[in-house]
Amino acid sequence: MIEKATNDPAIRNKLISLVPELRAFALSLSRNPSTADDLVQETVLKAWAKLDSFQPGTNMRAWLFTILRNTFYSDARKGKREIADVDGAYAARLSQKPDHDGRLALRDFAVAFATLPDDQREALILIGGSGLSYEEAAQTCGCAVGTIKSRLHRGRARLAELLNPVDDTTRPETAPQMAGPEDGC
Amino acid sequence: MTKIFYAESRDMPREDPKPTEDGDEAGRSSDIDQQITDNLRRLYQATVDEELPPSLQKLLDQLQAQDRDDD
Repeated sequence: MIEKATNDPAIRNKLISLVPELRAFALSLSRNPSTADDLVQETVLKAWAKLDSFQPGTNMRAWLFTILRNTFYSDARKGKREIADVDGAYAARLSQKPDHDGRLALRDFAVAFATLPDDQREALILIGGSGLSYEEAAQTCGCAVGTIKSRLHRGRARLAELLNPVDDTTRPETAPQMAGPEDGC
Repeated sequence: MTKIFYAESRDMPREDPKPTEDGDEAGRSSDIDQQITDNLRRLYQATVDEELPPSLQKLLDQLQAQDRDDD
């Protein structure tokens, strides 16, 4: 029997309706589908048990994301979660059919996204994916709004580098090609 | 010192790249930025739209059944 902490069915139904979004955030954090599902299950049980501490009128999604994030990092500190399979499991969930350009691009994007540091991934997915405000994302991550903006900026810049590598062979030569000490030759 | 981050201005209307020597590069950069924005949403939505795994669905069914029993 799982203890119920609130008598308002609308609040409990709202929690259940947000589970798919919890999975999306969990997956972006853990980059491992199995770990993500365990994380969501743990989060739902915790949230269900303390629904009376949720303030009606505030953003339940941000509240749930905070619980999930705290659980993730707490478990990581304890070494409870397995290491993410960065190149495999995360992107492999997406369609593997090679006949759809958009899908292929999304898989490439997922692989690049999975290589970003945790703090940048969570800022990008909270704001760019789930649509939280800067303030809500900062509250969820327990940091200042400026920190979230900085992580977002760095994450986007890194993704742009990964998805659009500079091809030096197309740049005009501005100086004679000379081997210098910095070339390591 | 005030720092201006890209993210602060991403929702602002964008002008087409000016026809300068660097125009192609500016246009390409803008295109990549838009792709990042679109793909973040798609990546998130792709998971939201997935069917829940049986273990998770079972938990939700239990919670909802318990709700009905209590009411």
